Amino acid sequence: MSLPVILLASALAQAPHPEHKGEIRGRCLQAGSDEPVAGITVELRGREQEGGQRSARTAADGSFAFERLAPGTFELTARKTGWLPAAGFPVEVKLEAGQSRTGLQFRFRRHGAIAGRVLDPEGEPVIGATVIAWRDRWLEGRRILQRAASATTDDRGHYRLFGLTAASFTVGAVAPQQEPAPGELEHSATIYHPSASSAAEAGRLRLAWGQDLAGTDLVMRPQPGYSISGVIADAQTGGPCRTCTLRIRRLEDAGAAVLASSGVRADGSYRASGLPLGTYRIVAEKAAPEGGRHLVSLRTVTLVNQSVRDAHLVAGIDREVTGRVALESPPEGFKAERGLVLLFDGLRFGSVSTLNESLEFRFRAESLLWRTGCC
Amino acid sequence: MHWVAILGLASVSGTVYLRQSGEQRPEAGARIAARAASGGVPLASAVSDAQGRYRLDGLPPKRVVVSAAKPGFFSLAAASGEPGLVLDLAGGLAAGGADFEIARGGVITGRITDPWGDPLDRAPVLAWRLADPEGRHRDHPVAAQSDDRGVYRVFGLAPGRYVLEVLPPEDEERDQHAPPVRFPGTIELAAGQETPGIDVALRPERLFEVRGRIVDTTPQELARARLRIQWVRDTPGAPSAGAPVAEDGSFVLPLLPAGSYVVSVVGPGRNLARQIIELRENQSDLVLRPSPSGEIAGRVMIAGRGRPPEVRLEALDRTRQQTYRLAAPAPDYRFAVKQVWADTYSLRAEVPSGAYLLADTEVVVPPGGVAEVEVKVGLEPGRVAGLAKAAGGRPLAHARVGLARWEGGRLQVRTEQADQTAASTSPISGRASTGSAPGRAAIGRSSIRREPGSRPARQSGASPSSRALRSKSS
Repeated sequence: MSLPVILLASALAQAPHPEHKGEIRGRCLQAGSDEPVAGITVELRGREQEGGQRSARTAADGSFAFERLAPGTFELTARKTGWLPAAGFPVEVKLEAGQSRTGLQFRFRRHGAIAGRVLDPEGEPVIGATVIAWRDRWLEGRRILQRAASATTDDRGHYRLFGLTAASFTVGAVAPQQEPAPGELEHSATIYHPSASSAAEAGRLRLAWGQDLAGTDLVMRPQPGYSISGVIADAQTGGPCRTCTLRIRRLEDAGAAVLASSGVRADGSYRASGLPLGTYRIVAEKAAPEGGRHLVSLRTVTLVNQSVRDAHLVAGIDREVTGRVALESPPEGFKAERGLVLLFDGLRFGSVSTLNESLEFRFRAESLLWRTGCC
Repeated sequence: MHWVAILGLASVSGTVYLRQSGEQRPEAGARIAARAASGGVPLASAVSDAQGRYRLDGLPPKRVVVSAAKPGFFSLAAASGEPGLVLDLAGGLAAGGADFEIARGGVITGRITDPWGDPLDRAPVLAWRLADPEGRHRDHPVAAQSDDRGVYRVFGLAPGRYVLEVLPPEDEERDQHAPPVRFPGTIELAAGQETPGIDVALRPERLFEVRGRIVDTTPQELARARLRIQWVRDTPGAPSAGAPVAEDGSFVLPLLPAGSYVVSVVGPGRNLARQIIELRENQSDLVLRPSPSGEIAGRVMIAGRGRPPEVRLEALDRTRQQTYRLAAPAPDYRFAVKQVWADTYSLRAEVPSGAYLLADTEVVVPPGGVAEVEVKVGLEPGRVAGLAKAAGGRPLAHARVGLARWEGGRLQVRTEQADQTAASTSPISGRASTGSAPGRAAIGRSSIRREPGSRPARQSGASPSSRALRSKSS
């Protein structure tokens, strides 16, 4: 994107210096054809000079020039909406006194775009859906999807993903997201082009440089979704845990990212909806009173073929493990003031600080999840 | 495991209707949310079904604001300035008939280009709906972003008069946004209308330099002085910047567009200097002299029986750039704030919720002096009650009755409350009640639920909408 509003500011900040004769000249060309690219904004920033930057715009033959430059080191960048540089910026140029640098060549490619509509099964536009393009990447022989661009559908269901390199893409859409109310954990499944429920079944789109792939429509069909619901009780009061926050993760997902999070309703109840079959972890975290500790409880729920309505949790139970580590035969001259004990609960480590008492380390781990740990 | 039954939870239900070509039909897929009257995240939310129906359960028994929204559509109630349907659910009611009307929103579309006519991508475009003939903005604009062809499309707009602004890209060098570029004139938008061709070309803007010095201060103060310049403008995102002060008191401000600015210098523990400047050309010697700060002190007098633990006030200067928050704690409700720039301030009551000033209070803080002020605050709103009737004289249930206050010769809608009977067991009485600060007010119909198949009710309200009332303080 060019920065037209600051051009005058740049000129004022670092005007050409009449006593200096340094020059930097070059051309911007289209990669592959070497056709000139006009209208590219080239910015020059002096490293050692007093502040500021200067801008130039390439002419019809793709040329640009900066004149009357003082000696020093300069950084050059160039950009234009709709074009991507073939090599990285900034480019560094050094000028000695009276020296010029000419013949610089920056190559650009016209970017690609994918556009279309997101429709419901009746052919009506889906407004406010998030559309994402993932680029295919290969990692250790496995295909992974790397997010490349995203857009939101307008009132006609139209979207446009741009700034894309030539590559193979998977395109998916997620229904409009809303601010969740406490106790309502809504998961919206992604629909992949043209109407697949998983990335593996999605049609892949091959995009060339400069290509505008219009008409890439997606149809959002309702996905079978199940729900998990229950009540979060407060271990201290026996009533609903109104200060609890909930998170839900799908354990089959890579990284088990949080699908949804929310508080609980006034009566302590919650409902996570729109879930595909699988194994989920519900985590309830009770807010700490000032200066206190957050207390965490969790429950694992498997959706086999129906919704689960009794996934209750008791939050706010303070669990701790204490113990000691004794070194039976420490090396001669061994000295240590502190040690570290790690508890692994199968999902993450919790670190525990220790104290040295004559080579015997006592430790105490608090606010633990109700799980079997190992150290 | 022990469970405690939670009693007194309330529910709200109703139907969302789409208004199109004068017709009304149930609309699916609208999101209805209930929030506490004091704001915050939704207490509960639901999506209207194929018959337009919704139900919100498990609401706390207190005053809530219910609103309906659907992307690309606008709520007729919100377009007329209502914050939403205000329901008092004390006692754990099951409130039915809380209906909403939405309509397809209008569209403003066009292209954003740079000074050479090339498309500008990812430029934020804001459509501000004007609140009154003076052209003051509403609080929240509807936003869109241009694509790689420079094309933008702002949609879901309520009918009205709009100002369109484009935010130029952030200037990394100066770490600030350039001022927004405004489409010349205003754009009139009818319900559901699409207005294309609203193109905006960004032009290089002339920027000015300000050099100056701070005089008559000590080197110790100058060493820790902080200088700030703020643009006097009501648009969020208007430029502001800081600049270092040299040992000799000299400073150079970043380049700025033409406009009115407040330049202020704050030293260690005290205000040093403040000046309002009109920037039309480069300024090479702006001299800032120490201007003695003043103090605001006084007492809050509370009308009515309520005695909250604290009343908070807000003092806003005439440039609307400087705000001081004052706390007046019980029992004597005295307050004082020092190091206040000498200026004229307007006061407003901030909390507790529902507090209002009994009279507009303006405070003039003299340089080096103390402005003594006695602020009269009301805590208990007055109440206006009456009977809403349809054209034939039949009591009209489920009507929403609005109360507007006369302020500065204009009607300002301040309160909008649901017909209490809509949430009671007697849905046919049509009795309405609404609260407001004392003053001259007018009552009028806002929006009426229409029974499917019935004729639309044209008029309601305890009196004709143009009739002025004097409300009673309770």
